[in-house]
Amino acid sequence: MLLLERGFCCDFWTDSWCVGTNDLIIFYREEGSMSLEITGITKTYANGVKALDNVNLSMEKGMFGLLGPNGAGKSSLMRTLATLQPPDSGDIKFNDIDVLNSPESLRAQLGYLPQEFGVYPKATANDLLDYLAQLKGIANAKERKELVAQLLEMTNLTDVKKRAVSTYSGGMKQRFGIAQALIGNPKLIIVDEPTAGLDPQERVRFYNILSDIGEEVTVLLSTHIVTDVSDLCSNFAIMNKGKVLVKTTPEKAIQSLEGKIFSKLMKKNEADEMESIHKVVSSRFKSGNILLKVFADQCPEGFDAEEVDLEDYYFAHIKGFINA
Amino acid sequence: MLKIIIANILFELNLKKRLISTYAYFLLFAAFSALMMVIAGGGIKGAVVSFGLSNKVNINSSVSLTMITAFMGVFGLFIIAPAFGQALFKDFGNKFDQIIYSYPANRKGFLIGRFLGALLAQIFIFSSIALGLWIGTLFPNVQAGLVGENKLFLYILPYFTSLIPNFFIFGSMFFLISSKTKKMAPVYICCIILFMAWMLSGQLQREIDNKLLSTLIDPFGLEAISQSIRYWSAAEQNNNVVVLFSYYLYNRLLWGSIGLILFIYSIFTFNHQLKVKKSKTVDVKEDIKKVVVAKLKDMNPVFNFTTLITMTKFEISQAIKNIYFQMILLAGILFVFVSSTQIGKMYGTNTFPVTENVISLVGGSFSLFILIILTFYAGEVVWNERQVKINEILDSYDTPTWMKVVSKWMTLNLIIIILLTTIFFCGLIVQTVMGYHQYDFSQYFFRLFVVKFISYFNLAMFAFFIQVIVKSKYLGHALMILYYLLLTWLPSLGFSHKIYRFNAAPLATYSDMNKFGRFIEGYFAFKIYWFFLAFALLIVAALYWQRGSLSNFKDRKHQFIQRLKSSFLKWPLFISLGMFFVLGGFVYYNTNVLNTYRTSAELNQRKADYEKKYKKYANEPIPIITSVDVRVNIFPKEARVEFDSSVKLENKTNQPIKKFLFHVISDQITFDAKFSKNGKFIEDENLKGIWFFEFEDLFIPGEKIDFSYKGKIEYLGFANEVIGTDIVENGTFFNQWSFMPSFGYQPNFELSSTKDRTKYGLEKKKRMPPIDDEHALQFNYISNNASWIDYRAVVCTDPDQIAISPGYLQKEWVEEGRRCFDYKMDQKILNFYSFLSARYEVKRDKWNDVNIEVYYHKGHEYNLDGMIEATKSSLDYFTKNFSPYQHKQFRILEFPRYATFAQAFPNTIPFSEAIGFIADVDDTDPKDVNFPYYVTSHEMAHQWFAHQIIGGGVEGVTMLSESFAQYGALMVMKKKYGHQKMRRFLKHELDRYLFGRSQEHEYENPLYLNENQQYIHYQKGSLIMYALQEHFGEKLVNSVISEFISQKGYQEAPFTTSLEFLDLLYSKVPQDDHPFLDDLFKRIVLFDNKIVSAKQKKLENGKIELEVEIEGKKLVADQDGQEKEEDFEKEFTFAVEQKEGEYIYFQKHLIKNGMNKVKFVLEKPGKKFYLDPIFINIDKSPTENDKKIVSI
Repeated sequence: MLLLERGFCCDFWTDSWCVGTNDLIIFYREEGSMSLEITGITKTYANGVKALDNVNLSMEKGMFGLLGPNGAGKSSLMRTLATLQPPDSGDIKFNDIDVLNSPESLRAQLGYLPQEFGVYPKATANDLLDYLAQLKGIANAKERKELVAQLLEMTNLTDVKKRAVSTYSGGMKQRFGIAQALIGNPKLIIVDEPTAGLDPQERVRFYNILSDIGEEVTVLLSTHIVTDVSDLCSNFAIMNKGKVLVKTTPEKAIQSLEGKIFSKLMKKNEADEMESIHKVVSSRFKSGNILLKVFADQCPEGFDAEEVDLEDYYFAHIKGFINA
Repeated sequence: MLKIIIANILFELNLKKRLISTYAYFLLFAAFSALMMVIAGGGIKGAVVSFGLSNKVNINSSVSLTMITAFMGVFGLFIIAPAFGQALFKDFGNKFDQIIYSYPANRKGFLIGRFLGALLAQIFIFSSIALGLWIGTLFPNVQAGLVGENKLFLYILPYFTSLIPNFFIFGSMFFLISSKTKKMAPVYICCIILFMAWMLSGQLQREIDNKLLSTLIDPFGLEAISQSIRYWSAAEQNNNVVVLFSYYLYNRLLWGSIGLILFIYSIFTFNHQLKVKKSKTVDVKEDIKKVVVAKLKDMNPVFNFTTLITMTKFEISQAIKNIYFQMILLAGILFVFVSSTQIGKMYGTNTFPVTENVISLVGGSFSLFILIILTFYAGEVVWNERQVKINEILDSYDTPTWMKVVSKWMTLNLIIIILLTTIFFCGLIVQTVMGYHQYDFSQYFFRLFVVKFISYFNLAMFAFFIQVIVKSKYLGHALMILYYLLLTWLPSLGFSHKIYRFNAAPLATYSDMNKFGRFIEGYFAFKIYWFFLAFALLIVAALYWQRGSLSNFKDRKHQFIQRLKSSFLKWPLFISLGMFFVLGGFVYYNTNVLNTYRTSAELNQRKADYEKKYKKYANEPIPIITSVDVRVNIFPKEARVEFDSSVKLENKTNQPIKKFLFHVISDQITFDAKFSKNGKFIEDENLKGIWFFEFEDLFIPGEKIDFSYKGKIEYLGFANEVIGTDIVENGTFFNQWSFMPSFGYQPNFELSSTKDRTKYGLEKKKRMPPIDDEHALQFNYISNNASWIDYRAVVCTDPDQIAISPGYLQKEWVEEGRRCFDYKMDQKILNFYSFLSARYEVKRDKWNDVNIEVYYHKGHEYNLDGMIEATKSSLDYFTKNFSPYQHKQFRILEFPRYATFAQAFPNTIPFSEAIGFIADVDDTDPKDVNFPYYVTSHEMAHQWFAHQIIGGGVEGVTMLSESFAQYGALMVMKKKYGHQKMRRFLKHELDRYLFGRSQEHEYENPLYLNENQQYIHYQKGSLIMYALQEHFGEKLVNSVISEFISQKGYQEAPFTTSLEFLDLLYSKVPQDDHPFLDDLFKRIVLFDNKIVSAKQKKLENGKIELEVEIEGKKLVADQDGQEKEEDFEKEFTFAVEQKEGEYIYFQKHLIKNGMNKVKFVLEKPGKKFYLDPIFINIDKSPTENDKKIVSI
């Protein structure tokens, strides 16, 4: 099963490197070596908002997607994992590290790309990476120079390394962001909504880099775009209102909805009525009409069986049609 | 368009209406104004607010209200700036501009509307000032005598002259700036520049000739108001209404037009085109190529010293690259250079830019900028990453927190060093430009990089701490400003101990002679004490430092305790706190155990108690000192003086003495006193330092006894304030008051100001007894314990120093490693003698058989020749015109700048290093006054006027000493420079007299009854005595003085008075001139003449006819400055100038009250016409007495 899962990922990209390493991955997983374990994390903000409500999650090497609508608590969780925001209660373990009590040990193995970040005005990519590398403890100048060159190369920024990062386009800036997150060869990489606002091409570029890294380490990726998860991740969880609704794999998720999604093309006014009758997972325009997808155990009248995609699963959860 | 304007006004007002800050500001300013008013009204014990007004002025008079309102308006700048800036900026800042400017509305209307809306909102907010001021007058603790009738229009008037014009002017600037730059920061920079212009204006004002310029550059108009009313008497300050006039008018016109131009400009040039920033995004062609998959090497993080250096370097470059840093720094440098033109000016004359003065000036001017930058940058370094929004990245790194804290702290320290280095270079530049090349590098280093540095070093840690614990950097800035205010305000509220005022430390002025002396010890002790607190706070900041999101206080506290428990930092924290307490104990031991700490309230209480308890003994007979033979042993390094005096006393009254009051009021003196006649001391248990000495048997009239008085003065440790500047390592100077006991009730221990006296339930008192007070006339005003004494002193000091006391050196020897000098006076002197000791150089000269000696500090040779020349000219003049010189020597002795005066002891003149020794006099500059020359002549004249004739201790007496000494000095100067050059000196005297009377705390007296009022006996004295000799001729005046000396010289009690002199003078002049003498001496007379026009035309014979129109006005003032006009007819000098300082016409003409038209003929055309160019008559608006000549 696991092999399949990985294979799915690899097949998608049809890249040969994937196959070669599958065995190794399977081996680790079979051993059940969990790298990151989150138990009972709760966080309430001063304004009374419960951002995280008893969050439990565990994840292993590879890409893990955290899916949820805006305001679900994804970023709060990410920040908590990145040691930037202590939770009110709960526990986080990364391998042997008790993250909350010795955050500095985690930081030494952490790469973090926040949802939004700025850079010092006028600082060039090369200089800034060099500086950041020093802040991450790469003290040896020669090593650092090599590392910076390598990172720039990986993120395809070598040609623009002499330009101020502040003048970069969104995609380039995100690539710079991932470059800095990779300094020091982290074992845990957290990327928070990295592709928001990027055009499709840039998204692909970005994931290209990310999927590369995901091989060796734990990558936690938060997003509200379902295809990001289906494209990239071997495991994912859905969060809403501070809670983790479900944790599964894309395949399992789709499988679990097999035969439960139905669709119908209809006029707009018809569609409005449907909301009250059916469990509508999604509705979208299709050549002037509306294609309505509903979740049901049996095919409602006038509907057709529809191929399940991950988005259906996601909405079914968010809308509370399925209770984990 | 009108619709749009109104719509926008309403929009703006609506916004403001919903902002809580609008009401907060309103309340804040109302409260602050009320507080100011209560303080100005003496309602808060110990707190003082003064705007250069007399303290007799009603707090709700037009002058007071205008000044306070305008002053509050200055602080309002920081509310106005965002209000006007935001009026436009809010669209840009909130990115709403693209929508707003896409509408078809009329843009000018839109702008005007926004502007007026902001203006109206500001008027609403600041209407709170008037309200607050009015409420202030109603407070019960405001002194009733200081509140006049409340008139509404007086409250409203300043809004039209000051506040609203200022809102408009500054508003236009901010509006323009924000509309052009579409940023807020430049608006704040503009604020700082406006502020600086204000300060600069204050700086420039020290020079009389700069008045117009200095009042024009003040954008707030505050300096212009104070200059315009500078010469108003107390009555005028109470009754006149401040409208736009004089400098104030010019200032308002200038700034008003600037505001208008800017406003119109901004309306017409407003560029609504969106500057779509085509960001220089780079587009690199790239295919979705296979990324290079390189395995990153595992690296072990290493954080070492290099990392720290890198971080610090990065932080500092962030700071320095900041344009605002550069601008503030540049502003500071400019400010320094401008104010450096005023270095040590006295009488408009420069002093040499010696390192000492330059550091004080440059360092002083700059210190405000350092505070601003430090406050600002503490915020920047702490908040930088959050502002850049890179904090989440950096905080997720494993860089140790302590490294972040240390690098940021180091950055602040580096900024301090950069600023101090800037001061250093500014100082060097100032010196070099002024052609002075004796740079004292070690002094620069020590004063800047040690003494000043430690102060800023502590402050930086404190500011850093504040920024770390607050949740917003602006709150941090506000707290820092609050701290600065508290630091300066606490003492005026009666909390003056430095042990609870962070970073406060006492330090004496730096003196060339004594450097910082031992005073640096107390300074360092306090600074180190504060260092430990600051360092502890720094550690707390490090432990409190938060990575990632800011959490609430509870969490942070919890986190802090967690970290404290686990971190090694707890040890340095505890050690610092421990050391803080240990040092605190040490400081306390010095200030409160070795020395006594008294608040000013305690001191006042003591004085009041003294008066209440002992006033009844005021007229009791006391023993009189007839001879003093003293041995004084000075230990300069130990701040100790041992004395052993043998004093002869006599009962010169006709009553027997049973007991008399005996005071030794000094915490530093221990003594042992013995009278040769039996008796006992009875100590006052409550008032320390006061005894009765009670004889066993009566001390009968004519009886003589011996009094032996032994003991020491010793300054131990250091006190809360700088004390003991009289006994120092190099430059000891103290007189008999410092250690000799005083007998009998001492009126000068009484509280003097009416304000204080009322507070303690004492009646108002005259500052000196009435001129016919028989008891007071028994003593001369120098000493109420003696008239004339025999004097001998043996003074010993360290072997490398010379010690001096009045008298002739009998011998000099070395005894037990001490250098001793025996001085003996060959004739009786006043009971007024001093002791000096320093490492002196001596310059000697001779005038006839009089030895002239100047004892000076090495390096201060600049004016020695001038002083000697002045001495000789004075001796010439005074011996010829007054009487022979009673001594055979004259000595000038330099002493450190802890005091800035010269004082005439018998044949001995201690002369402060700050006045004269380093004067840079240029006799060819028509503005320069050779003040070393003047001061020397003045002190020389005291050998006659004080040491030959001395008046009794009653009102008017200082006319006989100070005014006469001024006269002597004026005559010597007149002889040297000529009558026509006396303008340069008398103009300062007139200015200071007129200003002095506007500051009068009680009431102004005529010269002959002055109560030791300096502006009268010095400044008015000069003017009157000069006018006297101008009218009657030097010869007559000198002969009267000479006769007076021969009658009253060396007289015994009862002593003479100013009236006796006047009687003699009146008897020597024709009856017709008596009213003139009355005007000079017995009344307060002021002219208020005005040149209306001065026109010249060419006559047929080629000569020039000048026609001048003069409005004559003579005023007689009462003691409160209430004036009455009086008719007059009097000769005034007319002068015509062709080149500065050169007159082509100089003649007297008769002027009457009312309009005078005078025509006279000139040989060649003139440039400027002067009425009374020498300032012989006191004219209350001297600027109206010269006018450019117009050719017709």
